[in-house]
Amino acid sequence: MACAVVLGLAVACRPPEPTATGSARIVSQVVFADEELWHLGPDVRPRVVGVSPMADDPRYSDAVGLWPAELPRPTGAEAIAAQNPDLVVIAEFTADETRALLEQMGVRTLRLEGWDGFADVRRHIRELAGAVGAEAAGTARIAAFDAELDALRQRFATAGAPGIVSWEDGSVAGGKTIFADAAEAAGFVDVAAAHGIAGHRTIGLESLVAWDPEYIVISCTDDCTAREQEFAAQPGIAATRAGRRGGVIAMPTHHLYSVGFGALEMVRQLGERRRGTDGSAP
Amino acid sequence: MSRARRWAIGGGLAVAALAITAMLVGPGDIDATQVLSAIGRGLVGSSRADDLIDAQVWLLRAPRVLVVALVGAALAGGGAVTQGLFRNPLADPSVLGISLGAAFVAVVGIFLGLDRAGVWVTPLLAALGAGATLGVLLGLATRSGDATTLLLAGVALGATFGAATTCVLALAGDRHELGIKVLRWLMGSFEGRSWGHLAVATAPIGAGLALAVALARDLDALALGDDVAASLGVSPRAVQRRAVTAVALLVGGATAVAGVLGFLGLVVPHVVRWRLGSGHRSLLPLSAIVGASTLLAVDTLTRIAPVALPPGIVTSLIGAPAFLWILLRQRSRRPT
Repeated sequence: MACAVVLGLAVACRPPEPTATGSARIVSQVVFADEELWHLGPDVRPRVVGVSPMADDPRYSDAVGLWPAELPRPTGAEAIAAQNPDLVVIAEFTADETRALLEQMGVRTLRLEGWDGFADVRRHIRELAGAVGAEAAGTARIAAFDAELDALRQRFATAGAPGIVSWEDGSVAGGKTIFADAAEAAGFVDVAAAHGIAGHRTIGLESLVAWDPEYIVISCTDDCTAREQEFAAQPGIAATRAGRRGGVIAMPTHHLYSVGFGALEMVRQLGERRRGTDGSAP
Repeated sequence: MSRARRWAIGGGLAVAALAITAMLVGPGDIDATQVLSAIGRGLVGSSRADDLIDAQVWLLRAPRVLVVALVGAALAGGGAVTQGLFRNPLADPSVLGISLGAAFVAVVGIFLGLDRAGVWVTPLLAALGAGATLGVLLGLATRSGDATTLLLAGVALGATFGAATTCVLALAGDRHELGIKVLRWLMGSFEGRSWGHLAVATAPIGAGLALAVALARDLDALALGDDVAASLGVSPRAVQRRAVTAVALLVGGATAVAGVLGFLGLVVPHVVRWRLGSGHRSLLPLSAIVGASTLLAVDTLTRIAPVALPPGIVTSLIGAPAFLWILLRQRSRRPT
């Protein structure tokens, strides 16, 4: 009798078998996946049984208001397991213990690692679409991404790219970052990358001033204009070309830190800002 | 010339040499002549905020160097007073919980976004935190008058503020940029410190140093024990109150502008005492001078290092092994 009960529980707790079109119960723990699972289409959406709590956070997510409020937002291995998923999309910062626990329970995990530029955006869309059995939708998303990116490149292509730095409390984005690719697409040169910095690195304020970039990008969450003015008036910053010529750009965090389609909005805003300040774009 | 006087002159020269070095080194191609010209323009008030060299030398390097020296003097001077107060060379200003009290209030301010109102907000909040912690400690000192109770109360307050700060960080778990900002502040930093920061720190640290030097004779008397001190006309309770006030002003002022910097208050007075003896009349000013030169050296190293290192981490990385070495050396010399 006891064996039957244990056996019954084990069967009940076993992850569901994946459907012919991919995973049957998907949980996302990454904002990028929260966004992309929605855009992969109506075949995928009903199979999503949980998204990350940050899906509803307008500071980081472009998926705000997409997923129903009643859809669970699990955090932690126990809450994720309670959704009885067969696929969990996790980030590189997800605890190894969580991943190990899920895999011990027979749950497949897809870890989205490395965001070194737009090539990784395409790679992760492809991986995610493949994991949920939506390869065709994934291919279409990548094509849409590239089409929009090409249009933006053509729109903002001019000679004489000005220098730009992404600055967040001392941290700059160098080469092999989404920002570097976005800056290049909008017609800028990433000054940190030009100084040999790869990835995100902390530098001193004095170094930023010595670089004297034409544009400095900072993040904002609410009053971006006030943030620009406050930053541009800081000692040292006011002496840079960015400070003197209105080249400080405060950008909403969900665009500046986006690792998905939101990065295209970053390209658009950077390019338009350049057009507004130096009149270089057509 | 006495040994203490030689140390004072040598320390003063070291501070000057390190300050000049700190002004001359840094990013960008600025030579010594340009640095001197920019300092000259700054001193006569003709510095231009939109000139790149003036900005780097007069608006970034000069106030930073002065803030670093002031904070180094404050932390080491505060350490010397704390060790004299508790008659224990292992005591540190942080045991009174003042730096953690200051850090807690500043972190709450950052969490609530108050720091966006201006660069003066975080220093002001840190000073308020230090002042509030001081108030609690003074209340305890008045009621108890016992150095051990004061020490334990400081440890308890520090633990409470440390836990509360961690709690705030946990509540901000989904706000990554906030977490990074708080963490950087907790690690101690002189990045972007301006003349405004110097103005905020000078009054409390100046008053704290003056009070500490004025306490030298009383702390010497206290070192002989409460009864002997009383027989010499020194009230242990009154000394306690003034010493706690001095430490709060020094550590509160330093934490307000630089965040939390560890080990300087422990190691520097210990080194000075080891070389020159325990007399507070030389110990207090020399600790301040050595503290200023040590922190100037550390900050200059972090500025020219290929990777950005928080000075608080470097002071701990250098201070902890140096302290162990001093301890072991002293033990090996002690007769068995």
